[in-house]
Formats: sequence, structure tokens, C-alpha cells
Amino acid sequence: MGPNEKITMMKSEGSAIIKLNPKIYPLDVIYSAAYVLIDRAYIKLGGDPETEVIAELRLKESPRGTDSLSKIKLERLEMDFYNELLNYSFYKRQSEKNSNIRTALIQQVLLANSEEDFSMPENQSPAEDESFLNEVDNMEVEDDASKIAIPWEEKNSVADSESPDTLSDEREELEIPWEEEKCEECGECNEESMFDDPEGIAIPWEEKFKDQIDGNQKTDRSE
Amino acid sequence: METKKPTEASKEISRLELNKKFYNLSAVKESLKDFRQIGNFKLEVEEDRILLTPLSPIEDPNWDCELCNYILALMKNNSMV
Repeated sequence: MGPNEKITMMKSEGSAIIKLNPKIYPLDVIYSAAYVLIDRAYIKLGGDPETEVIAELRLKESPRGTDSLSKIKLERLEMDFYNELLNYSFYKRQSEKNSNIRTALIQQVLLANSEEDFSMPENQSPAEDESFLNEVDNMEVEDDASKIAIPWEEKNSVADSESPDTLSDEREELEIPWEEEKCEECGECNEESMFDDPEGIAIPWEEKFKDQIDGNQKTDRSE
Repeated sequence: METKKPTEASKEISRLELNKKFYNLSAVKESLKDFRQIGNFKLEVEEDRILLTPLSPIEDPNWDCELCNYILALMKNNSMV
């Protein structure tokens, strides 16, 4: 049999026999192609893996049928088998072509992972980490002009202790309604003194122009 | 690979022959364990072939084909081929 020759014979029992050249389709390719079709057909391998491989295909649906439909299905199965042979041959070729790149990539990934695992210095133990953290917590801040490092409660409690009267006065002022706040000038409760109205906007119009109104009324009566 | 079918109805038990170059012996043994529910088999190993003979008649007429497929799948899954 030549290197490119394959012979297919149809048996009367409803099976197809395919003879393959292992130099064109290696054995692992034949196995892979056969594995794909085992759910649709019965596949049996024979012959010589070095010179000629014989694959017998038989449909599962009608294994012994010789009607036209079975023949069509069998022919289709045979074509599918050829396609799978070609598919896995190409896959194998590509796999061999990219094997070096694939190996390099995997090595790089494994190496990167191993470097992350050893990020902690070898001479440092977890116990030493905790002591270091404790030191940081207990460390006093040297430059803190704005007193940010001091907790609010502590800051206010210190302020209370230094000038308690000032704080109590401020609190009293906040509790007084604004209408009752004392006038800063006279020291008495004066609602009007709370507002500055140099233009007299707050004065009612009738009161503001009372004199003019009275004068107009007198003029009208004399006429 | 050859399969000898019974010439007389239900009197002669068929035998399955597998090419040793294509079917792994350990895979065949493992398959026979899984096929115990169907029946027990006699395993014979010759120079270039493996012979499987059921000890009792099997109802399924396609048992040989099913066994071939099973062995093939087992070899593929176990990365034997």
C-alpha cells in the first residue's frame, strides 16, 4: 500500500472497514478519532501499527441493517471519522510546534508563584512581627502641632480640666433661645435691638408716612 | 481482531479476539472487572492476540462491540494511548 492510499470496503453486515497508513495518521491520532465516535458507533482496531491499521466501524442504531438509510448513515460515519483523523493530526502538529513555548510559559508561571511564597525575609519570624507592631502602637508622635494624634475624648477632657468655667458658659449660651438673648450693649432683653434697620425697612408704611398721609387728607377736605 | 459468532442457535458461545498491538492487557483486565454484571469471561493471552470467552451465554448480541468500545475508552482516559 502506498503512503497516501487508503481503501474502504463496505461489508454486507453493515460495517465499514477503513485501512489507514500509520505514517500519515499515527496511532495516537487514530485512537483519538475513534474515541470521539464511540458513542455513535462500534469501533474495532486491527492490523499492524507499523504498516497498516484497519479500523472497522459499525453503527449502533442498525448494526446489521443493509437498507439504504443505514448505508447513508454509515457513509456519513465514515466521513466523520476521516474528519476527526484530520482534526487530531492538525492538533498534534500544532501541539508539537508550540511545545517549547508552552513549556517556557509554564516554567515562568511556576517560578513566579514560588517567588511570592518567599517574600518574607527568612530571618524574621511571626513572633517578631507582633513585637514590632506593638512598638509602633506604643510609639509617641513627636511632631503633632495640630494635635491630630490625640483622641477627641481625651482632648476635650483635658480642655474641661483646664478651664471648666469657659466651657460651661458656652454651653449655657447654646441653650438660650435666640429671642431671649441679651443685648450686648444694654445687657437687657431687647428684641428690636437685635436688628439693625438703618433704612427703616421694618417700620410699617402707614406709620412711616403718617405725617404725609395726614397732610394730604387735610388738603382734600379744604378743596 | 475477530469475533466468532455461534453457528447454531444458543449452543456455541462466541469468542472475542483482540490484537495485542492495539489493546492494552491491563486495560482489558480492568474492563472485564467492570463487565462482571454482564457475565464472567475467560482470558487467554497468546503471542499476538488476547482471547476473551464468556463462561455463560450473554443476552446482548453486541457485547463484543460494547466491550471493544469500553476498552478503547479506558485506554484513552487512562492515557495509555
